[in-house]
Amino acid sequence: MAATSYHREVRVPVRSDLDVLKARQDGREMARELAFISADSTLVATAISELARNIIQYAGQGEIIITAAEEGARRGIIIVAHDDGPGIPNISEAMQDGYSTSGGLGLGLPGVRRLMDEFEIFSEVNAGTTVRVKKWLR
Amino acid sequence: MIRICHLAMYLIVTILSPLSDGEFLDLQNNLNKQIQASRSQAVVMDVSGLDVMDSFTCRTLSDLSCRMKAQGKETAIIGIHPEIEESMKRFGLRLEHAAIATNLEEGLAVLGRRIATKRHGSN
Repeated sequence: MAATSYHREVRVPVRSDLDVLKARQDGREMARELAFISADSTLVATAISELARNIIQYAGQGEIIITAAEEGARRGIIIVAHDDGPGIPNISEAMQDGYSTSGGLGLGLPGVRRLMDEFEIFSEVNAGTTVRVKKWLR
Repeated sequence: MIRICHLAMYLIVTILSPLSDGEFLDLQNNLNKQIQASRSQAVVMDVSGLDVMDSFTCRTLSDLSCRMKAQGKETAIIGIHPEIEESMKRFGLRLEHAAIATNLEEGLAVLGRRIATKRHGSN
């Protein structure tokens, strides 16, 4: 498949901790290609690492999809973290700060939201979870 | 990749490249064993090779520092890139039970003072 500069998509199956590492490295690479400044590429890589690890921990396996985003004049990057795992029974609770932000046992989702510009989550118990985040070039 | 160096009363651990979670946990366990077997009074963790500091990384480093403290050993973490420091701030992550220093010289100085204070305090 020929790689074009835009509308490029990278899909990383996430099944192990090595895939978590690969997903965030691929994300950083893509952010760099899209001309993100280095500091923002680090934010993107950190968000991917967090989302990919959630997949391993809570669903066992899933996928990270990294795509270039274009909305009018804005360019950026979209990260989708998807799994068919147990789902999150109480999303608003999972989105609250607390024990999760001090590096405790939480999902780290509030932190991911603060790293990125846009954040959406869809989850259904016994069906799975999809988190979709965006970062725009500045 | 990790380099471990014994220098006087210090154990200097340099993380040279990004680690998977499993590698990080292995490192934590190995250091725990090494420090027990050694006469090192303190650990310097140079994290300049890491690509990110996410919640797992911060938790693992904080846990490690906490275990060191439980054995009466101090920990300093050095080499956090400004960009990574910024990402930690935005995320809301903190490193606990460790001194944070910008470079090796400063890290050794902080640890040296802490060890001296402890000795003075116990006499």
